[in-house]
Amino acid sequence: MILTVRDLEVTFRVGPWFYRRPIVAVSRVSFSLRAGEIYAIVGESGSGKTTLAHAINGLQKTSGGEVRFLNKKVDLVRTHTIKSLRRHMSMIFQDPVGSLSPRMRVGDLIAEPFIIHKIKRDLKEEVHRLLSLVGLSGDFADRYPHQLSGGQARRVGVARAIALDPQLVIADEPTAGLDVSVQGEVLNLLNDLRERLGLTMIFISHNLHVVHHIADRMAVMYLGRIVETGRTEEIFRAPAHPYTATLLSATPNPDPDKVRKRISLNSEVPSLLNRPKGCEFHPRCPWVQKRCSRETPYHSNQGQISVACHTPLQPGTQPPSA
Amino acid sequence: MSEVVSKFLFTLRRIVAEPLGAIGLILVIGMIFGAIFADLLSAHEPIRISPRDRFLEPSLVHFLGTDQLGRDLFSRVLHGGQIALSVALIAIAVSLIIGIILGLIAGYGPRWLDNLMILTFDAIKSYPTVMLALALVTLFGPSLTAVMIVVILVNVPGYARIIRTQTLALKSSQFVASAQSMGASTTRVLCIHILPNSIGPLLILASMDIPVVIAIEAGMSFLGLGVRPPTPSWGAILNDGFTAIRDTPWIAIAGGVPIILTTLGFTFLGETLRDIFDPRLKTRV
Amino acid sequence: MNVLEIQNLNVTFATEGSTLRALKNVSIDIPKRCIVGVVGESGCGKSTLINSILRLLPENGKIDAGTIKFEGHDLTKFDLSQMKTVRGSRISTVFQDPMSALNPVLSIADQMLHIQYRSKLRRKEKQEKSIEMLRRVRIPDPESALKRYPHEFSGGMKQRISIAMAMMMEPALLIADEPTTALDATLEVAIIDLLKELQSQIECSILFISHHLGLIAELCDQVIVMYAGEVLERGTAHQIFHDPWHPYSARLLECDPANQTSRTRQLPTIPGEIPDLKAIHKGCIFRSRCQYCEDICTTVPEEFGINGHFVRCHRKSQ
Repeated sequence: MILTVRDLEVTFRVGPWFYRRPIVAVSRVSFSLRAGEIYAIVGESGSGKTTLAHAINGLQKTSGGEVRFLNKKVDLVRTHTIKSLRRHMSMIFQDPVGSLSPRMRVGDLIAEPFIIHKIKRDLKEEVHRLLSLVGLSGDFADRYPHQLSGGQARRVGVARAIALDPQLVIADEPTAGLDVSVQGEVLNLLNDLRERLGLTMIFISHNLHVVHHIADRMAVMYLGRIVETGRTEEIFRAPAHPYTATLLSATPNPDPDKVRKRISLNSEVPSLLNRPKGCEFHPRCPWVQKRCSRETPYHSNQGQISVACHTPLQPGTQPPSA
Repeated sequence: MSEVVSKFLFTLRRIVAEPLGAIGLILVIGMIFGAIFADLLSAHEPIRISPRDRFLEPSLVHFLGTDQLGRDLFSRVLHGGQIALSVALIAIAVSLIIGIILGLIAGYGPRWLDNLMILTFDAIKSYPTVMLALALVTLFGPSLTAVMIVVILVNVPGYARIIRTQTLALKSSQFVASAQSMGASTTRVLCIHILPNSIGPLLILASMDIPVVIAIEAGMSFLGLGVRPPTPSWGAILNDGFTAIRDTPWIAIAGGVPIILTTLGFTFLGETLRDIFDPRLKTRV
Repeated sequence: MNVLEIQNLNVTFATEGSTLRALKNVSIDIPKRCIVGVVGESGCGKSTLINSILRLLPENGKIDAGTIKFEGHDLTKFDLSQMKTVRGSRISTVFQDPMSALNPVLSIADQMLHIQYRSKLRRKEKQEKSIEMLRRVRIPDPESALKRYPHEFSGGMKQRISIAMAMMMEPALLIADEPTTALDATLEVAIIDLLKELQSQIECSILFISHHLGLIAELCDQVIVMYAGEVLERGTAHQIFHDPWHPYSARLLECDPANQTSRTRQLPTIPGEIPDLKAIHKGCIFRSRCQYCEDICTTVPEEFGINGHFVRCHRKSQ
């Protein structure tokens, strides 16, 4: 196992000093990653997926559980260990242009990991090697981030992330903000690099269709918890958690004549300050039953999928008619 | 390198395109030129007393006349420019360095430290400049150093605040998180990623502070709190002329006009630069 | 009968030392009670199109030629005060960020009353109309919602409120510029359903701009495909999505991962970049990225069409 996350919890404190309340952004998340695997984490905004990514990299303080990477604990207090861990774990951030330091040239940006970790190599050569690896010509080394298109900037971000041959790449919404035609390019690039370099990757996204084409396994997060996890194909074939089913049905299909069987949710996402009792999805769940509002469901296996639901959906379940 | 040159020329062209910018540029270049070549431009020494030549009107020998001790005013004005310029540059440079360091600490450090520093900055800022000057002079005696310390104390809180605000904003930006996720040290994050992106507006504001500092130096020297006689300073010249303004107005003119022209020059130039580089700052000043 | 008829619209921007041709010979008709979708990637000129209709082009932008006929009047000939009577009441807008329509320091009630300042209703009646409007966009408990401030609502609710405000004066045309892009997928479809419902009640037309092909397919009656400032293809949603004529439209549809139902490692893409609009371009604008490019493509293709399906491509017009 390259990465093991066990019962991870991240808590923020919000409100003025006299009325400070804790909100749990990530709650008891556990999963582990084998080498060469792409694991997707899917969820809507506020589901805690970005916070989880930051916690794994040590950018975010945790309040419980642990992250073990290459058999060492990711520990914020010990700056030395965390620096050496970060040499083998890199991140790709959401905003393609905004994640590149605006006053630095592409060449310097790609050389930065080598400089930070004091790796003595011919930087110029490395920059050219990495640029060609992500499909950009060598002239890009002299450009500034604002002179790049979204897709080009994204490639530079990928080049930075794979510069030191990391054991793990955490990609946080790597296709967000990109045009459809460019989105495919980036996914193809990541797939290609995975095959050539044997990358292990955590792929965070809100777009289920994108995940379908890249991830081996996936997890669906809701209010900071993993509600369903398993092999991507299995989940796409027959989602077990009502929330996953809703997400799958919510993505509009580019076909004007298609008859839509859409699962509609009852209300909006509840606030993290006011988590529902029992199953946290029950106020919105179309299949809600009495016990859902009282008992918290634990993860159980249904086929190859692990799901936290009292009454997991069986393949072919139709939404209850409203 | 050629990129820097072409950028410079481009900026220059845009400054000259604005009438105020052109006037400002001419005044500032003239002042700097006069200060640098003060010794070559004037045939007389600025501090040589010559009782025979007291209160001479402007003539071809003494372009601006002489003062009550017979010192050549033209030479004194040029050398006064040296003092004004060096006080302004040194004091602002020191304020910038201190301001940037404190601003980065306040913006990047823990919350409590930030609150404490902001409180201190505000306390210093709320203290009137004149009182601060008087207090320092009673402590150290009138000198150029006293002038500079006053300037630094007055400027640092403002500079630090600007850098702090920018740092706070950039701290949570994705490119900073990206550098951190690679294992970059705090120093590297601050110096390579945050500072270059926050210093622009500060430099423009600092350039607009040059005339203010020149005025502070002149004012303190006028009140006898700044440079000591016989060192030439525009404020001191103005003071010399003030006592005899009825009979020999040229002394006061020789001291006053440079102050006005330089202040205008730097202000025009600073404002043009600000409009070119950062139009958003327009509303702030 | 068309609410909006844009004919041969050409818009340029003056930039440092050169002119940027943002829109070239754009012709669009929006029939009454019709939802028209504009599909295009970044740089296709969607925002310039909106700003031209609303006459909100920045200082360096200029309408060089063409007419924008709205309810029979040419908007390009309107002065500022005439435009003000059109904006907000006859043509209203919903943007990606709902906060661009909402004032953070005013309560919802104040803002909804402000919009009705032209109306001759009494204050009480305006208030009732506001509540009714909020109810129609399904804001729970609209009476108390009126007393609250924008920041007290979630992103999806804010967008509903801004839609309520846009529909308040029952405009003839609603321009919706990526209204769901900032929202989650489950909220996106809810907003789409809402727009559809309000459109049929108010009987207005909607110009819906989005890069999301699925949403366009679901909501729109007619579709316009834009690329680098030109309209490459237009027709009914059925025509565009089932039988795209232009190579760009066809390729764009293929690129949508939602269209690849089976799992694939190699997703289709459109290689190349959007051409530099500052340079003078000869012939078909998509030529440099087109897989079917031939010699004839160096000449500008005429618009060709039958049954309301129009395309600018030599392959079709030959």
